[in-house]
Amino acid sequence: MEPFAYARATDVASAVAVLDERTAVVAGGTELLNLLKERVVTPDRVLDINRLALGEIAFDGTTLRLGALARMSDVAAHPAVRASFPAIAEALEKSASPQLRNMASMGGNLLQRTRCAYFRADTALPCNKRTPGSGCAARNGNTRQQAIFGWSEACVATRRAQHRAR
Amino acid sequence: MARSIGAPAIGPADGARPAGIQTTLRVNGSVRRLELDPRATLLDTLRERLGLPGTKKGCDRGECGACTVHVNGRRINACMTLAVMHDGDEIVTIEGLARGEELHAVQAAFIEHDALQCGYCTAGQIMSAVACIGEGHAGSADEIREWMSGNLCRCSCYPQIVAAVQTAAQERT
Repeated sequence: MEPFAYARATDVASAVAVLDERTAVVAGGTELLNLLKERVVTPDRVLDINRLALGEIAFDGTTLRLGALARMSDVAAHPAVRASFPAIAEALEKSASPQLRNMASMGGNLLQRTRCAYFRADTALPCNKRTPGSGCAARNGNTRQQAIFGWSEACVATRRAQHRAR
Repeated sequence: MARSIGAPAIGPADGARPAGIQTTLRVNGSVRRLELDPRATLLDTLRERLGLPGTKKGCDRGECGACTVHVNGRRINACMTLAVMHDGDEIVTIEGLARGEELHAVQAAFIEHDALQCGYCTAGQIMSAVACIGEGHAGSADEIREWMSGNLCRCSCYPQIVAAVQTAAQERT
C-alpha cells in the first residue's frame, strides 16, 4: 500500500464535508483493502465511517430500509428480511463467505468496482478504468469473466467506471 | 507480485510516512496499546507487532480464510481490515482459545478426527468453526459445509473437518 492518512468519522455531516477525490471511504474494507494492496487506488486519506449510526435494518410492514453500514450477515439474518424478503436473504447468503459477510456493508456492495481481473491485476496492465487512456487488456485477453452485454472497445468489463480515489 | 509473505508489511515506506495512530486492541483478554501505521492490516499487526503468529497469512486477499479471527464475537478475515479500525475492539485469535493446557472442544475435535495435514489452514478453520457452531450453523454436515465454505484447505481434509465440527457441535449441546 502507498502511504495514506487515516481518520475516523464521528458524524455524517462532517464526514460528507471532508470527502474529495483524494479521500477513500472504508466501511467493511473487503473491497478497499484489495484495491489498496494492489495500488489500484492510492488515496491520500482513508476515512473510516464504521462508527457512524448507519447500520439500520427496519421494516414497517411495507418498506424495508437498509442502512449503508448494515452488514450482509445481519441483513440476511434479520427476521423481517427472512420472512418478507427471502430472496434478499438467500442472495446474500450465496455471496462471499461467512467471514466476509460479517464485514461487508450494503453500501460498499453497491460501490464495488469492476471484478475484471485485468483491472485488479497485481501488476498493472493496460486498463482504462485504472489508468484512463491506457487501453483495455481484457479486450483481446482472457474474456471468460467479461460482460456479454454493454461492453465497448474501451472496456469489456461489466460495470461503468465509478467515482473517486485513484 | 506486490504482496509477499516475507516482506515487511508494516515498516515505513520510503518518503512520506504518515503519523502513527495510537490504537488500543484487546487481544485474547489483554489490553495492547500500539502506535500503528494506518496501512497495517489486523493480520500483520497480530503476527508482527503482537507476537501472535498463530493467525496465518494465506492469500492475503479475503479468499482462503486462514486469517480468521473473532472481533467483538464475530468471525472476520483479519487480512481485509486495517488494525487502526479496531481501536477498543475485543479480538480473539487461535492463541486465546485454550484455557491453559485445556484445549477448546473444537481444537480437541480436530485432533481426534485428524482434520489436518499440513496445518496451515487449521487456525483459521478452528476459529471459523467455533463461530460457526456459536451462530447455530452446524446442525448437519451440509450446513457445516456451507457455513465453513470461507475456509479453504489445500490438503483437502474437508471430510475430517466436517466430522470434527459436527463432533464439537454435538458436545456443546
